[in-house]
Amino acid sequence: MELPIKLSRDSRVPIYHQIEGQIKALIVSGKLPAGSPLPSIRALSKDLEISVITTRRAYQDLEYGGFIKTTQGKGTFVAEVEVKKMEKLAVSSVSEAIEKGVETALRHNYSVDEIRSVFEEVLARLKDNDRGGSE
Amino acid sequence: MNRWQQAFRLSKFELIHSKKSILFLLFLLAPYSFFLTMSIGSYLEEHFMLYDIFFLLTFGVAAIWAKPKEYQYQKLSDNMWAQPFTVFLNQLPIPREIVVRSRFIIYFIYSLPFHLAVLVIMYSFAPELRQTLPPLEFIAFSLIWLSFGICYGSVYPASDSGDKVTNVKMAFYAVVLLGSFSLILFAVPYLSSYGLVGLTIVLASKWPIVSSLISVIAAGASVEFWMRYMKKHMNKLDYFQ
Amino acid sequence: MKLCTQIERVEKTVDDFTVGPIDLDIELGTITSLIGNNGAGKSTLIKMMMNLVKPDNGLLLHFGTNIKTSEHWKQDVAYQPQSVLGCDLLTGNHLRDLMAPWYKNWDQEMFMNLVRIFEIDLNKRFGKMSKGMQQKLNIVLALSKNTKLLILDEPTANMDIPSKQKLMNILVGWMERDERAIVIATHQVDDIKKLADYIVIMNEGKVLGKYEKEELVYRYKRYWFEDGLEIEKIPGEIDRLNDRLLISNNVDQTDTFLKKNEIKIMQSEVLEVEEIITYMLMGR
Repeated sequence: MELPIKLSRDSRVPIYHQIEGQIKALIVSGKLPAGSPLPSIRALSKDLEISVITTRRAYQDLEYGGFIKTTQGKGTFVAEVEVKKMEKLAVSSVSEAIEKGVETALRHNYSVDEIRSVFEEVLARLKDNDRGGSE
Repeated sequence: MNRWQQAFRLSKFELIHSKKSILFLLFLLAPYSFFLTMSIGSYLEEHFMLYDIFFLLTFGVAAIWAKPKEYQYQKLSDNMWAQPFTVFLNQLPIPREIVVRSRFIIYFIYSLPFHLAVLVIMYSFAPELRQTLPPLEFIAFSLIWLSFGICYGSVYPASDSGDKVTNVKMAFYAVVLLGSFSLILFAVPYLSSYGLVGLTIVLASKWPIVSSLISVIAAGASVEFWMRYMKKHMNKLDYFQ
Repeated sequence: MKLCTQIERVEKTVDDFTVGPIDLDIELGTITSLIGNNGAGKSTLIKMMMNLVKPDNGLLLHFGTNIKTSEHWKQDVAYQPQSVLGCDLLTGNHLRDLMAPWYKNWDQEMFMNLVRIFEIDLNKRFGKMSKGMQQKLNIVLALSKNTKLLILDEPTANMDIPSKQKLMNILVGWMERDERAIVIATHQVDDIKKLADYIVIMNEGKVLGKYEKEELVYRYKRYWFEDGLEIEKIPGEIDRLNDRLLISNNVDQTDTFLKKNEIKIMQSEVLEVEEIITYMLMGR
């Protein structure tokens, strides 16, 4: 697998949208810096076990968004993305992830206070881990 | 490259495995020519049918027996008989024309040298035959029988492309074939007081030029006819194998 | 999308079994996998696409050419049958020498490369090779023909697992080289999951449908319920394994119904491709 993309087939979010989102996240987080090559549509389709039609759609969207560019005969690469755009995206992808978690909690009939306390707990634990890791 | 050359190049893929078979055919040649040479004297005095039958077998079917079994016409499924290599070639972008020609080349590489050798051995070792037929007339006689080998033998390469054969059909063909051979074998002596071989000797010595010409034309026409038939047939037949 | 192959109302009857009428288009740039039980008519369809079996009715075009009236299209179509006839005495080298001159785009470098990857002994007679090795040689020959269309009839049935994996990557690479298409009849779930863009399902001589893979996956869903279901039949329902587990082939209808009737879903998930195919072949 060339890209660490994980699809959730049970999600309501369409597959091409998931791919788009995760590649954006990899670019925004700096894991895929400008100029890094992306797998071909066919190769990524094989890895993700989806059709090229779906992958092509995701790549097209990314290209329209200015995140990637395709050079005929050479392949697809990460494009230079403006810092402002990156920041905006980072915010939106964080809020998206938290939204997902809150949705799950609500589905399990958690109250607002319960959700808040779970959030604090997770935050504390991850911070701890982070410190433990760096020391 | 012209079509016969391309066809010949294609034939080589089968012929490289046929050396043993052709050697075996030469080995078969000994008893065949021995019998045909030794008994020609008594046949010329008084014809007997066994000699005619043997002659027909030699120029009709003997050459095909020696082929390696992988390249024989064979049963491929319940009602399909074909020569498997021909079926295989059909999947490639080789023009049918060339596949068809290669089948004829292969058969004639088996049969023609064999037939020619039988005739040459007979003429060299049977003084009775030399007395009856001077060289020119013997050439006419040879042409008649080589032509028979080509006319009748063309059925083999033509059938390599395959046939939908049921048992009933197979039995029908066998009866027709045996029937027509028997008819000729009995009718010729009844009508002419010669045996079949004897009749061709007479034809060759009385009308050497005419009989040679007719033989050559018949051989050419037959090859042409069967090649066309085979091409058409391949266009129609279903290859499920 | 550019079309590679057009199949229009193609029909063939043998004894009392009819394949078709079949309508099917194959697009360049895609891999189409033909799925169906044994005897569903896949091989017959493929053989009609090669003009080996001649249709009773209908029209078959490759790259816009009617395959009945011309032989030129064969240059651009490579075909690997399930079993190869008549080549038992020929070696890999012979087969290469036999085939290569007839394909104008034959890629010798690719051929040698693939021979190395699959460790094929080119001096061994075809008839002396194992079934798996024969398939490897056949696919290597087919790929090196460098055609626009590759038709494979169960190409990996006898191959070992590492070779299948290698082949998967090779096919992916092969597709990148040009505007090309592959049609593959297969029973291997992995082939379908990793390679197919379109799935064509055949049953009893008929094409049940051509689906984009994701489209098919999202049609079906499995639901677990908190309480036992009391309702006789739910819209979209095709299977109920007990009163808490239901499978639907019409997610929208089922979801709407469940919401309206306030039935609590414990969990839901999409089906695996092989499950979907099984249901489809059962006519559900």
